[in-house]
Amino acid sequence: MVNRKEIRRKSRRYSCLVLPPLVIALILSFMSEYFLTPVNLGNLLLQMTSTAIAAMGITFIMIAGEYDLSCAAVLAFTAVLSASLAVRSPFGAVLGIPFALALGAGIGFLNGWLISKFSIPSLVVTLAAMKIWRGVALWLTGGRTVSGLPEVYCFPGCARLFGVVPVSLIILAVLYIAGQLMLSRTRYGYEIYAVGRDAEAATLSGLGVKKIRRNVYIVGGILYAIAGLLMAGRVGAALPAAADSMEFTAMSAAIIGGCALGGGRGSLVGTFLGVLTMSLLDNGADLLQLSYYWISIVQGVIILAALVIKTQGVQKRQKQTESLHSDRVK
Amino acid sequence: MKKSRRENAKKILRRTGIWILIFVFMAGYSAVRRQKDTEEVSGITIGLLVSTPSNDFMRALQDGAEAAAREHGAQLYVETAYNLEIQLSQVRSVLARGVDALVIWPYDGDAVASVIEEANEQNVPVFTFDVKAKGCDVTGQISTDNHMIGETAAHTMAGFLYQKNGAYQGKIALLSGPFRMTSHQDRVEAFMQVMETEYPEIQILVQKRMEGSEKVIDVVSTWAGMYGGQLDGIYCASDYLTASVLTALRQKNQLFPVGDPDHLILLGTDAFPAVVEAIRENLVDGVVAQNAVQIGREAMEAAWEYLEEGQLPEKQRYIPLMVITTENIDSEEVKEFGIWSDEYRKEAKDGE
Repeated sequence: MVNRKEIRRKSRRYSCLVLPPLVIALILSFMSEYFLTPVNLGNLLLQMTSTAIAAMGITFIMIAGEYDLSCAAVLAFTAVLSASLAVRSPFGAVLGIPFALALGAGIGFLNGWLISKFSIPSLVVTLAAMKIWRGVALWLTGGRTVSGLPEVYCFPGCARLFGVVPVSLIILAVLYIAGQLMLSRTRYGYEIYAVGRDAEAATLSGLGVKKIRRNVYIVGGILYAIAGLLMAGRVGAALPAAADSMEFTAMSAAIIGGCALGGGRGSLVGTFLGVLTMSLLDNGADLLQLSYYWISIVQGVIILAALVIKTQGVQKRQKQTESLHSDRVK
Repeated sequence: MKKSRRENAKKILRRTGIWILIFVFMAGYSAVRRQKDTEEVSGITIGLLVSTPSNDFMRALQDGAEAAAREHGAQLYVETAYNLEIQLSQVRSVLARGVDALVIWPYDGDAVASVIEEANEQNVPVFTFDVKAKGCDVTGQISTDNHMIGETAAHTMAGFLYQKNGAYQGKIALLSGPFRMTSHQDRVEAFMQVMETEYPEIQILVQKRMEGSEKVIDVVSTWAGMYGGQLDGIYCASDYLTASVLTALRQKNQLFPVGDPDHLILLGTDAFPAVVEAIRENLVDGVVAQNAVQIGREAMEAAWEYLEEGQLPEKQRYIPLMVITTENIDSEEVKEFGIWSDEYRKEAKDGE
C-alpha cells in the first residue's frame, strides 16, 4: 500500500531532477533567441544521444554498486574496430554493427568476470580497462581516424525516418523506455537494486550476486558499443581518441540523476535528466559563445550541489527513522 | 488513496501546464527577437571556427581572420574548440544561428566532413584554412602548400647535413603532429619521399607523432640518451614541436650553437617566436616559414570575395613559404616576406 508521504516524496524527488534542466532551458531561452528553435533543439537531442546511451550503461552498473571508468575507451575501441571491418570487408558494413555489439558485450563480460572472480575493486579493474582499450584502439589504428564509412554502417547514427525523425533518437527512446521498465517492473531490475543496496543480504537471500554484477557489465558494454556506433555514424568517421572524458560526463549525469555512489539507488529517468542538464550547458556555451572552461566549472558545481542535496536528504531520512524508532521504544 | 493519487496527478498536470505555457511564451518572444536581429543585421555574418589559441600560430591564424573580417565590416561568430566533438557541435550551433559563410580550421581533417556536408546542404559556403578537410567538398581551401613545405624541408635538411658532414649523408629524426592534422601528414609524406629518392644516404633513424608539446621534452631527452652523438639532426613538422625540442636540449645542456661540432641540426616549420629568436641566437639552423596571419586573413578574404562575386577564381589558394636561416634572417628578402611571429614576440616582451 502506497501512502501519501511516499507519493509526495517521489514527486519531490522527480521535481528536484526536472527543475535544473527546466531552469537552465528557461535561462537559455532568455539569453539566446536561437535556443528555442527546432534546429537547435534537434541538434541538442542528437548531440546528447551517445552520452545518454553510455550514461545508461553506467547507471545499471552504479545501481548494482559498482563503477566503470572504461566506458569511453570501450566506446572508441568498438567503434574503430567495427568501422575498420566495415571499410575493409565487402560484408563488413552489415557485419560491423553486430560485431561492435559482440565486442562490447565481450569486454563487459571480461570486466565483470575480473571484478566478481577475483574480488578486485571495480574502480581498479575499469581504470586498467580504460587504459588498455584506449591504447589498443590507438595502436591498431596508429592514431588514424577511420573514415569513408559505408552508408549501411552509418545508418543508425545519421539516417532519418521519413526524412524527419532521426533513427538515433528512436533508438535512444526505445532503449530508455525498455531499460526503465526493466529496472522498475521486472524481477531482474529489483535484483540489481538489491545487490547495490546490500550485497551481503542479497547473497543471503539467494541472489546470484556475482552473476548479476557480471551481467550489468555486459549490458554496459553493449550500450557503450551502441553509443560508439551512433557517434561514428553521425560523424562519418570513427576516432580512436573519441569520447575523451565521456566516462566522467556520463557518471556525472548518473549522479545528478540520482544514482547513489554506494549503489542501490538511481533510475534511467533521472540519468536522462542528468544528461539533459549537462548537454543544455554545452549548448548554452555554443549559443552564447562562452568558453567551455567556464561550463566545465559550472558542471562541476552542479555535480557537487547534487551530491550535497542528496546527502542532506539521506541524513534527514536517517534522523527521522531514528526518532521514529526511539519513539516506538519509548 | 485514489484521492491522493488523483490530487498528485492534478498537481503534476498543473505544474507541467505552467511550464509549457512559459516555454510557449519564450518561443514566441525568441521568434520576435530573431526577426528583429535579421532586420538589424544588414551586413554579412561569418562563422569563424578555430582551435583554442594554445600557441602563437593558432592565435595568429585567428587574429588574421578577425582583422580581415573587421576591415570588411562583417559580423563574426568566433568559436574556439579543444576537441573534435566540441567543434562539430559548434559548427551545428553556428549554422542554426544562420551565417552567410563558414571559415573553419578543421580540428580533425578526416572527421569534419559530416558538418561540412550539413553546411553544403544549407547552401552555406565553407572555407577551410591551414588544415585540409578530407572526404567532402569545400568552397575554398587556403593554406601553404604542405607538400612543398615537406619537399623544401627535405632539401634544406640535406643542405645542412652537407655543410656538417661534407656529404648528403647523416642520421636524422622526424617529429610531427598526430594523424588528424592532415597538414603534417602531407609534409611528412613529401619529406620522406624526397629523402628516399634524392638523398638515400640520409637515414631517418626515428619518426614520431606527438600530440602535446610536454611529451616532446620527454621523448627528445630519451633520444639524447639513446642516440647520443649518432643523431645529426631533427626535423619538426611544426614549431610547437621545435620549441619543445629546444627546451629539452637546454635542459640536458646539449644546446650548442650552429657550427659547433656537437651542434644538433634543428629545422622547424611555421616560424614560431621562440624558434625565430633561437635562429637569431644562432642555436637553430632554420625554419620553413609560413605566415599564419596571412593564412587567416586570406581565408576570410576568400570568403568575402565569394560572397560578393558569387564565385572564386580558384578553389585552392596557396600562401608563399620561405626558408629562414641564420644566414638570411636579417636580409631584405626575409623582411619583405615578413616574420609574423615578430609581432607576437614583441607583444610577449611588452607584456613582460
